[in-house]
Amino acid sequence: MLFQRGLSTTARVSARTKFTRPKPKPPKRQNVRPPTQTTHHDNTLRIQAPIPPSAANIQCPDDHPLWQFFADKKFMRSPEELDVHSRPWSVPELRRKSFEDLHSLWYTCLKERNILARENHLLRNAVGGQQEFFEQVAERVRTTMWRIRHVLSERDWAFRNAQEAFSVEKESFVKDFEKEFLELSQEQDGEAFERLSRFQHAIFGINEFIDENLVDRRFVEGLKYVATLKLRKFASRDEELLNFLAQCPDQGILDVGEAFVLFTSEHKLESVKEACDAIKELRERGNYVPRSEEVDTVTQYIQRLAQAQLESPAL
Amino acid sequence: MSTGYSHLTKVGARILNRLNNPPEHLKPFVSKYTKRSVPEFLRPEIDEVDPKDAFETEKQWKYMPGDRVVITRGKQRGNICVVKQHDRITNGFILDENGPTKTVPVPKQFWLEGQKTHMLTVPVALKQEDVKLVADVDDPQNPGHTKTVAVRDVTFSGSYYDPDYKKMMPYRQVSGETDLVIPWPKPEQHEDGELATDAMVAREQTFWVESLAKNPIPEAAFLTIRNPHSKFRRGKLTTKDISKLVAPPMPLSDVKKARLAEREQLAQIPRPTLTEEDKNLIGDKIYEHLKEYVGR
Repeated sequence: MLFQRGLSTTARVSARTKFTRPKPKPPKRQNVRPPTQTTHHDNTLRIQAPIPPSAANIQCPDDHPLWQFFADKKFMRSPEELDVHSRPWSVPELRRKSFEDLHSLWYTCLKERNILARENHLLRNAVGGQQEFFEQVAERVRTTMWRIRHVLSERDWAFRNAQEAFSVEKESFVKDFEKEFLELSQEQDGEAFERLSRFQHAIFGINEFIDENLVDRRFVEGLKYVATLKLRKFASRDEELLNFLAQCPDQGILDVGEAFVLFTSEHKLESVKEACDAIKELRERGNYVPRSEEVDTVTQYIQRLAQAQLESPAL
Repeated sequence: MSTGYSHLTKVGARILNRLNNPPEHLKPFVSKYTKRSVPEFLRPEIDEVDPKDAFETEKQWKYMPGDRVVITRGKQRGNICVVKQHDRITNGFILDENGPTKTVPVPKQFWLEGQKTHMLTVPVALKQEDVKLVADVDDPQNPGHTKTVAVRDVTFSGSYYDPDYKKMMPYRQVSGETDLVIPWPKPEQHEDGELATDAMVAREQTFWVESLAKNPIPEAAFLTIRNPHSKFRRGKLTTKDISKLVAPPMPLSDVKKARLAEREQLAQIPRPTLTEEDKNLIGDKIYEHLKEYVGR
């Protein structure tokens, strides 16, 4: 009983005492899987000549990742080699920088502080110095780092406050834009569609770079709105399009599949006409996207479009 | 020799700080003994200031290294000197050779290169109120010429980018005469260090507000930008905070307790309810009564 182990319930049942008959051996298993991993216990090791220890054997590659904790591969910099005259970034300077810039600056600072912390630790523990020159530089680097966090936090609050304030005047802003956009003449088409592109990015978050888009309800509504606006712009120049627009329910594009066809067409009369023909075909076939599936469908469309762009980068 | 990791931790910092922060009534006593224990060549002539009162900005210092000042107190009163450096421990100014000095004995291990005797003459820091700024201003009597004046005080307003200091600096004016701007002295020039960023790169704008629909900061960054569990956030109250803010319920007096118990007891007594039978009985009684008097 001494070395028998098991669960409290099974141990008692399966225990062999002198009163129980020995259990029969289990039958030999036929389909035994060979081991997926082999170890040195499988006797696959070969005996080699011993490697004599020498300084030549200890070689550190130049691109070893731990070199990032060293400045110029030095054990410790002298106070003269330290940059004591540079000042931290100021908050107004950081406010001009994009998130990507601030992000990389943050990591540059972090790496520098790692170097300084290592040198400071050596100074205290290996050399026995009490000077604070490493700490003083590190403190200045730290100042830049908290200012980066401050600027990002401030930017986020500004964004939220702007969103809240804009929700009141969004409708009138959109109406003003619509009016100005439709009033621009045919010669000013280039400028008009550039403005439309900025507008859709600002209000609906529809980015020109397809793979950066995140599809949500707002994106879908934006798609429909922009498609309708585009159709109205060209309907004033062509009778056929005007008729098509009049046939549309509520004088606009309400189906997201149709909106996508119009949205992706080029900013030319022929392309819009072609898109309208395609929409008519869709309607004849009875192809509609139900409202509950709009977001998923558009996500798929966008993914397919991005994939197509990847495969033909020349276009 | 080994200090371990004490430079990385705050453990015990409060106790150590207590040594540097004696109570108010012991401060003169402690400062007297620290002064006595520091050798004279290390001891500042004027009092050290609290680290939290130490000057940091140009507006606090008023005079930068390179400025000319006139001494207004002491043996050297009236001497015009150049500020050599700031003494951060005492908030004082160390001046050139025309300023006050003291000759003190220095032990041999602190000797400078070329020193031959134990006695060394070192400059003494002066307080801000003991010096006045000296500046050249236009002379109204001799147009086209300047005259040297001592400025009673300076004030500051506005700011501009100073390419010599490589940062924003305030305009320094004569107190009471806002048109009279005294420029900052040219600082000692250093080559840009390895941590410095080129001015043009720093100035280049890469952030533009483009969209109201998409936050310029990715969602994943927020955990490192602010602490969502910070106790300083609005609406974050722990049970301990609430117990401090909310008054405890008043204990009940004996009379009140007895009254409440009585009320409880009274509520326990079963109340008779009017059944249909009772109602019929009452109705019959009224009917008989009415029959007896009204029907008559």
